[in-house]
Amino acid sequence: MRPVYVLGVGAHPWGKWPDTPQVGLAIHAMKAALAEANLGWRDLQGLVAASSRFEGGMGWGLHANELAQAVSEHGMACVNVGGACAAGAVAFHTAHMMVASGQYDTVATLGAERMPKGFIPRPPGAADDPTDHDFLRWKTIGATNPAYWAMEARRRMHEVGTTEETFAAASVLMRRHGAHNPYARFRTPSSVDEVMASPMVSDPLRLLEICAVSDGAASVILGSEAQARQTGGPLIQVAGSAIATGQFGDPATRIPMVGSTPRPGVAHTSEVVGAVQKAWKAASIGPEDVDLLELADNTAWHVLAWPEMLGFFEPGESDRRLAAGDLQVGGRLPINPSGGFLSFGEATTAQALVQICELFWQLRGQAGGRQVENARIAMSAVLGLGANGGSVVLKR
Amino acid sequence: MDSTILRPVVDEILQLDEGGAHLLGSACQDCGTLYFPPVLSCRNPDCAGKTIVPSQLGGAGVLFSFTIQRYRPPALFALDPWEAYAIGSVDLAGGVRVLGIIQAPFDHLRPGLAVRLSTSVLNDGDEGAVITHVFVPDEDAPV
Repeated sequence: MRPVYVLGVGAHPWGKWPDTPQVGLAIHAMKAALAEANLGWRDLQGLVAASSRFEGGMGWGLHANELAQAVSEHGMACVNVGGACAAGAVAFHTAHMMVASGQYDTVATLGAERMPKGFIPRPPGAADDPTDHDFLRWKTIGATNPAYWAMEARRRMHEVGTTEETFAAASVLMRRHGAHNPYARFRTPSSVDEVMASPMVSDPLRLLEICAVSDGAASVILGSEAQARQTGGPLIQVAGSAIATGQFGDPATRIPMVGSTPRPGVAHTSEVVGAVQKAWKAASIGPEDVDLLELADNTAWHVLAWPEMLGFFEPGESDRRLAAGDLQVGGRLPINPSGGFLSFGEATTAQALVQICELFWQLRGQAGGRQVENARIAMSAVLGLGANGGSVVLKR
Repeated sequence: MDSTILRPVVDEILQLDEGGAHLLGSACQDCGTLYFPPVLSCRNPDCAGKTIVPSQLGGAGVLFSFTIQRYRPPALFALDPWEAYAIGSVDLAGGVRVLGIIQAPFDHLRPGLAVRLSTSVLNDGDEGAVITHVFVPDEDAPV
């Protein structure tokens, strides 16, 4: 395995873009990444795309092929990977190994998504299968995704005494970071009072504490050291890239499960914990070395729970850390300087890749008003349906 | 409405008999793990045999957590007329945690609440009234 570097990244701003097809968003993001990397389309030897279930992919999840046929037919290898909301991390991991193996010098990754409006529903045409948790949660309970997150939030209130105001403050912090990010969809800062006044969706979580669904696209181009030196600028190395799935006995109230088998001593959201620990091991670092963390904040609960779950803080410690300013840009562990999902809205398969874009911009010192001073090690963590976890560590 | 004509919204996971309501799940004969809904295989990685047999679940449980869902979910869920309702996760005997509607006054809800399995009527537009599993406060639980 040889070292792998990020040559360039690019994104299409998140929002609702009814007039731009998904492929259009994808081309925009890839052009930006190619420009950053000072590469042309023919330089790409491979493209790994995160497959969407919502749109495109010729009905088979062939998003890489769709992109190649739309913009550059030069024979590159196309790989299409699943992983739901972690698909971007799976794509990155795959591309990383393609370059690390020495078989490819330059491989791009891509996630592009246009999301249906409102609660994410069942896949169209899904069968009424009584062994399918997704069918059962809708048919017998009507449980939406926010209901699952809300049960986690309620349990946190019970176990460590988190207040509704603290959840609101976590959301406010994400919006404050997002205000400085031109790629974020929601860039207006909000106050705790405004969050508390937003409609209750699923107690105790309010509308402004739950990520919206958005359209967006992101691309990250990986290459060898020789490629990276040609590109110029500070070298950004992939210090660790890992994916993992869950452990038996995980106590998480996992979407879309209607029954689980929690067992003592098993990590909560073990797929993400497993990926993060593997990424740390690959990078030979620990939590104390991380200068900034991009995590999948589907809700304000995630902003508080994940740093504890991943081993940055003790259980229950995040509330105090948030109040002390430790989680903000300029604090000891900046969480989501990008603004996170709460400022972007989730464009599922693109989300893990826009996290990695942010790591790159931060390490290159290109993050403007949300820049973490002198960031040298940046890390992402993401979760996808099917107990998919992914984590990436980049270093300058 | 005559309850004798009501059938479960999903037959394969809920059964009514003279003993009351039961959820239908699976048990692994080799490692003892209980599952809901029924599974094709035990998923315990340390279990070599993975011999699955049908199992009835239900009776008493403890509310682990809950939420009150304030917005109507997408079609498929036939609560009509619509009103906000509680959903919770309940720890049943044998180490299985089950999601379900919680029928209790909202201000009574708290983690640790003793509950028991029951059923409630949904109005399914196409097929008439059906029942689904719910949990209600267990008045008989030891304090």
